Amino acid sequence: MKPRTSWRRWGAIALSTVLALSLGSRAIAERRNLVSHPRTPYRLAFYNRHNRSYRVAGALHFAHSKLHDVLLLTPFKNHSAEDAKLYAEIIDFYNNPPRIEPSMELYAPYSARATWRLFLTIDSIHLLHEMTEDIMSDADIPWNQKGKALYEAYEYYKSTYSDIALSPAPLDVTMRRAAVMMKPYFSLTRNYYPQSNNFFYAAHWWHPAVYESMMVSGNDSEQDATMQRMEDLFQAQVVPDPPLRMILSREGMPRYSRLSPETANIFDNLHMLHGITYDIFAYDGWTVEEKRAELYRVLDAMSYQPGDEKLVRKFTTPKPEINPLVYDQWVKSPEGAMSQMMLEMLDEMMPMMANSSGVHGHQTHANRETSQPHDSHDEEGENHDNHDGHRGHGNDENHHQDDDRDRQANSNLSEMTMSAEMQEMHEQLRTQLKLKLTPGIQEGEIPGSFADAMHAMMPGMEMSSHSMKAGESNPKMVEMMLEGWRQKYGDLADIEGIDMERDPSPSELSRRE
Amino acid sequence: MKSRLWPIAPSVLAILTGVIAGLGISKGAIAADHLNLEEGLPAEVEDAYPLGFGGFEFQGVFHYDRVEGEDIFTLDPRLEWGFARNWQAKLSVPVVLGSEENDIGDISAEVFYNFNTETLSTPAIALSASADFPTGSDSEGIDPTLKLLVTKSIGTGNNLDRLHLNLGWTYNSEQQDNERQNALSVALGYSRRLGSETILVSDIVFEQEKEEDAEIYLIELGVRHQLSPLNVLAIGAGVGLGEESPDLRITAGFQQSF
Repeated sequence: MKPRTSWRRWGAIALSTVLALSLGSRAIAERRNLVSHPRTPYRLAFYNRHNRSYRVAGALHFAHSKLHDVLLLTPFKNHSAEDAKLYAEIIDFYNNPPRIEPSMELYAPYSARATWRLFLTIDSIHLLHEMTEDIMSDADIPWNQKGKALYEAYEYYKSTYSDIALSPAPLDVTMRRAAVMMKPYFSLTRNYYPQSNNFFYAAHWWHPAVYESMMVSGNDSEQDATMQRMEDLFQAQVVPDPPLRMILSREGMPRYSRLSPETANIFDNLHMLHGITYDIFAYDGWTVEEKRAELYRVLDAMSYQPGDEKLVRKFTTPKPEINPLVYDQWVKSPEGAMSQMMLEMLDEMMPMMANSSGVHGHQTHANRETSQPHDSHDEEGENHDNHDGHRGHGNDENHHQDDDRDRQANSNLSEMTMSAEMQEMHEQLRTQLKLKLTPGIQEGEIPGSFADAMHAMMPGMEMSSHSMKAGESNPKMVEMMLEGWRQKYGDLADIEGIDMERDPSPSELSRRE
Repeated sequence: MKSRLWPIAPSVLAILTGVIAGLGISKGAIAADHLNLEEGLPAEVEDAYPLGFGGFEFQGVFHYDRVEGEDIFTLDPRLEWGFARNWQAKLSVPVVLGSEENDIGDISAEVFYNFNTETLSTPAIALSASADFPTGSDSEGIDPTLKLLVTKSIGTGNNLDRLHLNLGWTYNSEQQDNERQNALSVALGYSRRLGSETILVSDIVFEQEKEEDAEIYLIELGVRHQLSPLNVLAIGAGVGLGEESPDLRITAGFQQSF
């Protein structure tokens, strides 16, 4: 009898322990939820065929990882010294890259504990990067089957990481959903950590250049030679003199973007997520908990939403015949699709800002009448903000009514005619935004974030204190920007796919140029 | 005493070979992870994190122990499977090659569950439950073991400095003469990133053996090195404290992901 009693006692203790640990840990911590890399026929093709590039990716991901901890653990006032110190370390890593790609946690263990979901999100997309690079590298996948394999990789990513998958919609849409431009942190990293920031702009040149080098060289041995030439160019020209903007997929890899718009857009969304995260982490005005709340709001906003598939081809390619082996002024310039997108968003927000700045514009009588009731619901609208305010509204009748009301009001605001004074202010804000989007501090630039610059220029502007808080946003402002995007691009014809029936050759590039 | 090794070993090896061969042609998962500390690779202490969901690993552990003048070699092949998110299953089949006899040890099956990832304030916590089946010589009954695993970073954890605590309890279901019924084990470990591909691991281990009054104290130090995206190599050494402890332990092992 004694052993049986002992079994029961110990069993009860064990069960109690399990229940206590389960309930306790779930209440105060996140789940780890790691997923191993999938076994596919093309696994490690990139590692085996383009090991030099694989190792460069490892160095770039080290840099991305490390900056998280530098920003979270060092005071903003030390930005110059920390930027120089990290940049020296990054260049050393680039010159002596790791043999195995590091996970985000490896060089940013503090951030991993503070914001685990971020690292799970980043590592999952780095895995998607690996899968798509493997597909493009594997000569056993016929050239005309690459698109199918890439779509399957996207489907795998979306279903496996359904709780955290980023959106396949163009960055133009997800940036509007994220609504970060008015936040007190926006632009801090590019302005105050320019060396590290610009290295990431080089990295964001490199990623598209990898895919586009493969797209112009095909499956055969020309791919190997083209990749080597691309790496030589990266080393000799791009790293020492990086681009001054984040190159978007549609700019740097137009052919690949037409072949696999889902993954191309996700890569843009990830690269912008890096920038937003760094800005949040650099901002000294919030605690780590507040930074996590804001970051998770952004993650929600940039995550997959039902219907995003319909938007994946809503973009144009400014240079569809780009040669990835040429690094010219157009690529280096701070002005491109990224700055255009930001300026559009500022324009879209301007009527609402003008309305609250004390520098009022002129409204028609009819507009004023219809907008007044909406304005009186301002606080109510903010209370509806639930971080993922645009997710899952579809079946909710009340939300439909709110959306309709918001659209009506936003339309009224956007139709408002700005006064001459406001138009001048608008132009000055655009000028400041361009300066803020240029890395470092430029002549005539107002110090601080873009929000600081706006406050300095429009001291009468009453920003919604609620939406400026960590983890909050202004759904009316978000809807105004999304409506602006729909008006500009909603009817844009889907960009066409690309002909993959014939294995291409880089020799054709010179004929096209 | 007649060894049980030879009647059983071919069957076990055939099963392992079959599973591995099956993995080679079926959908599974890859990527070894040198960060994820495994028991005996190269130190006894484990972290509180499981293999990623979908992952399959074959692990080979080789121990050399010098105990009271005898050389004892142990081979411990294992299969590990991340069968669900935050869950892991493990099957191990140790083979002891002592100076007097060769014998298969107790085959062990384990399930492992991680409750949470570590946060700035909360350690990572996991629980494992395993059973040793009486396949070894003179072994009787199925002995269950329950183990609590905790991982906590030190300070800001700049170099991935982590402390690990393992508390184990084993119940001896068929207690023999001169055997204890309940045995405890404690391992306190420390790990640190030495480089992108290399992790340092050290620990202090206390184990109550099945035999009454036999206790082992061990201090170990080793490294885990990622050779490729699929392979991790582990090498370590330890010294015992006390009469029953091994004078010296040398460990070498590898992890192969599928």
